[in-house]
Amino acid sequence: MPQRSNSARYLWGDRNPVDASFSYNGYGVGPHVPTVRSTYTVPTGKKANIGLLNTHITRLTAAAPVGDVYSYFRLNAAVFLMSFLLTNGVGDVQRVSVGPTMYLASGDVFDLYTADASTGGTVYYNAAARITAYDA
Amino acid sequence: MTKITAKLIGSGIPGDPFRVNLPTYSMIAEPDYEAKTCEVEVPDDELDNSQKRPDRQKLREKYRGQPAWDRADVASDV
Repeated sequence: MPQRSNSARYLWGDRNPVDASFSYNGYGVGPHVPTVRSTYTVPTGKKANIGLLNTHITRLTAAAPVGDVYSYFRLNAAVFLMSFLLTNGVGDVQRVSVGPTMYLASGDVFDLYTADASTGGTVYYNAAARITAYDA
Repeated sequence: MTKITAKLIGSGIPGDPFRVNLPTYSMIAEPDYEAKTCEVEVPDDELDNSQKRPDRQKLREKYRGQPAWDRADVASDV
C-alpha cells in the first residue's frame, strides 16, 4: 500500500524506486595509482537514497615496502567512509560498514576510489553502496 | 547493466585519478593501465542499439541540464 506523507505526495519508496547499487570486488590487486572503480550520477528528475555503505581491505601478500592502501567513497567533493591500511601483515584487515540515511539530488556524483602506494604485495578490496533512485 | 570496453582518462594522481568519462559505470575487471582501457558495466538505457557504445542522445536526455553530460561531445572519448 503506497504511503503518503502529510502532503499529497507519496513517500520516496513509492515514487518509482529503482535500484542503482554498485560494488567493487578485487582479489589479488597489486599496487595502483588512484582509480575511480565505480561512479553513480543522479539523473535529471531523480533523487537517490543511500542506505548502506561498506568498504573492506585485506592484505593478501606483503609489500616491500608498504605504502598507503585505501578505499573510499566520495560524494561530490566530500570524502565519506574510508578504509585505510598501512600495516604489512598478511591477513591485516580494515573494514567499515555504515547504514547512513543520505539523500542525493539530481546531478550529485557518488563514486568509489581505490589506491595502493606500496611496492609489490597484493590486497583484496570489497566495497559496496546500496543506492535507490526515485522520482524527484 | 551491460559490459562494454571503455577508455581510461586521467593521469592517476589524487586530483586526477584514472576513470571512465561516463556519468555512471562500475569496473568489473582490473584496468589495463598501459593500454588505458578497462571493462565496465553501464546502465542499459545509456547504450546504443548495439549495446556496445554509449548513446550520445540518450545520455544528453537522461542527464539534461547537467553541464558535465548535457553537451554535444559527451562520450566522445569513451
